[in-house]
Amino acid sequence: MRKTKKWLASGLVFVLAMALFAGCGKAGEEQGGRQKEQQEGQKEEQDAGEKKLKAAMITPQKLGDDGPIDACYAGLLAGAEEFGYEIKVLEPEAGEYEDSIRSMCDDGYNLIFCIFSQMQDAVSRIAPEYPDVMFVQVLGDLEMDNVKTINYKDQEASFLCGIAAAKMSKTGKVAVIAGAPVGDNVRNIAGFEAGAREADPDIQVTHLYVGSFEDPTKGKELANTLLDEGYDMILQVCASSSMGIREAIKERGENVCMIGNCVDESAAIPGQVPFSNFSDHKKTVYSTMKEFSEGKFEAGVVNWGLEEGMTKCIFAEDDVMEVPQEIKDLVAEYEQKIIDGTIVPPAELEGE
Amino acid sequence: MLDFGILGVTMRMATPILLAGTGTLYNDRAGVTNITLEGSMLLGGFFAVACSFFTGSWGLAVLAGIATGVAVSLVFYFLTSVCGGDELVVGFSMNILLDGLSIFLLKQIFHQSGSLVDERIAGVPQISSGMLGRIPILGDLLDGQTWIVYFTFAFALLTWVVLYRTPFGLKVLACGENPQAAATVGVGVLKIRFLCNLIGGAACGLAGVQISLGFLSLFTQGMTVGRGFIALGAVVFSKGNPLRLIAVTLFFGFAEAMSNRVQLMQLPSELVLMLPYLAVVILTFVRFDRLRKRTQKQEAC
Repeated sequence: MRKTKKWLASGLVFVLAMALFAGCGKAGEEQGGRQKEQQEGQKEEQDAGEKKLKAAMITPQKLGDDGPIDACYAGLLAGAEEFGYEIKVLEPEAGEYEDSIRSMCDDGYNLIFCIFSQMQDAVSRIAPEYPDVMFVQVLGDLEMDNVKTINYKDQEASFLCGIAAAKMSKTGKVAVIAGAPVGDNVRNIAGFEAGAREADPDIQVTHLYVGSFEDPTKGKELANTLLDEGYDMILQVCASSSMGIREAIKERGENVCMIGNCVDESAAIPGQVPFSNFSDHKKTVYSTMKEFSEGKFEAGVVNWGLEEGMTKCIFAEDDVMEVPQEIKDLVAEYEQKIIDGTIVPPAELEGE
Repeated sequence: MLDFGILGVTMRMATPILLAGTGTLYNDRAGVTNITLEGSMLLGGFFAVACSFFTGSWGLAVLAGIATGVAVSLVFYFLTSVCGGDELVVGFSMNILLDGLSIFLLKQIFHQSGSLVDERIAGVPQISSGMLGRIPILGDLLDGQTWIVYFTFAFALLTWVVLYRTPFGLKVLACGENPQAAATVGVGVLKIRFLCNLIGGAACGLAGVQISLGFLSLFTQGMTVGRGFIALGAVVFSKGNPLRLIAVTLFFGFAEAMSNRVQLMQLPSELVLMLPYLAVVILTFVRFDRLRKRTQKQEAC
């Protein structure tokens, strides 16, 4: 009996320890009791005049999406190298957001990137507790003294993608597969649909939701449904779920195309991604780190779009896939119109 | 939209859930509460993809997936039956552990974080023959599926036969319903439970293979997205009857396939995404046992 108990105890301890290790391997910093101690330590440090640059990136979606999160990380790395930041990345699960932000604050990180709107609630609660720490909320609507909220005018770039897609479609049917009906996804859909209708009033355009950003199975299933119905241009806005869409497009062959999102995806399926709905997360993170290191950091809400060069419709290199010059010209023309303000792409869907 | 192509999608959607569910059903009937389906499927899928990546053979990949499932169930058995750990606690922590482990290994072995996509990964081939495709309805059901799909339904039917028509099955039921009595008449309760555990693990591993290599040929972190828990729910809900389990999982698969199609009709998306789950909630109001009693009463009249 005693032996069994011993086994039980050691086994459970092992499992729990491993679970902790795996679940928050990166977050694994202690907090709570040490909070005060560290705050004091931090103050002393600042009093001594040595302000270390420490930037943390907290992302609820995991690295390796070949998309926005990786782009942010690339920006973080570039910024760290250029300006001498000490950096850390956390990938907390839902429910661990507050703890992970707090642990970073307590650890002396003074610039914290919180990626995507899921983090917003946690940031709004913690930011007032740490007035000396600067937060960057990527996507959201927070207005606080030490929070910079960065939004993209996704609808502008996706409007251009819509135009190009409508011109390239042979069947006259184009579609968006989005992750969920949330802010940036909706902006992308609205812009894309308006753009497609602008280029071709008779175009059939629709949008589907996967309901998850991490479900490639459903992504592929939805893409197949669309392809079966004759849709031949599909814009993906669904992070990891898009891995399934890529497969569906690739299997269907030459005649159908995917439109990439966030990053230039043209190399993912050579010859089948003519252009991508690009938003420059890398530059966002990098330039914010630059501002911060130069002491020019300003809190507030910013909206970046075509004008700032933060979003654009980016075409594939000619050796990967050739896109007709007239389409590129048309897109450039509309780009100018949007920058001039003669066309304002909608940011919301009608009737939803 | 009402073509029979939807049947094929239904089968595909139902397969991983039914397979993992049927495996776990053995556990359930033998009186073991094993909730490690999700983690087992995920890790099984991961090792299958990893094996396929290195060897280029889907056959070995399938074996790797099954072996992973079995290994996971062995660890579970060790921690619960040998060490005496609480089944739920061990199950929960193992699910979290395995999710993290798959990401950890992905980083260590492939230096990738989050996803593994590569030309070298060979998927399980989809069986499609011109003959089969031309048969109406049946063709839609069976054409273009992997053999894992066929196997799953055969396995579920076989499980019904095994449980209710063979000595082994009756022993399993006895272990679950009254272990003391079973032990008294000389049934090796621990041995039976051990075997059930292995069957469950193997099935979960194979279900993971179907998710990562059957329909796709890639691995992304957390790609099972709760299908293990849905399978667990389906087992509880079907009260351990394989035939009911088939019905429940097919119903869920159908609802999910429908929700894909219905989205094209421009209905409010929130409602449509809710469909599969709503369908399950409605289904819980259907009480199979009551239905039977009612029909019996009618017969009596």
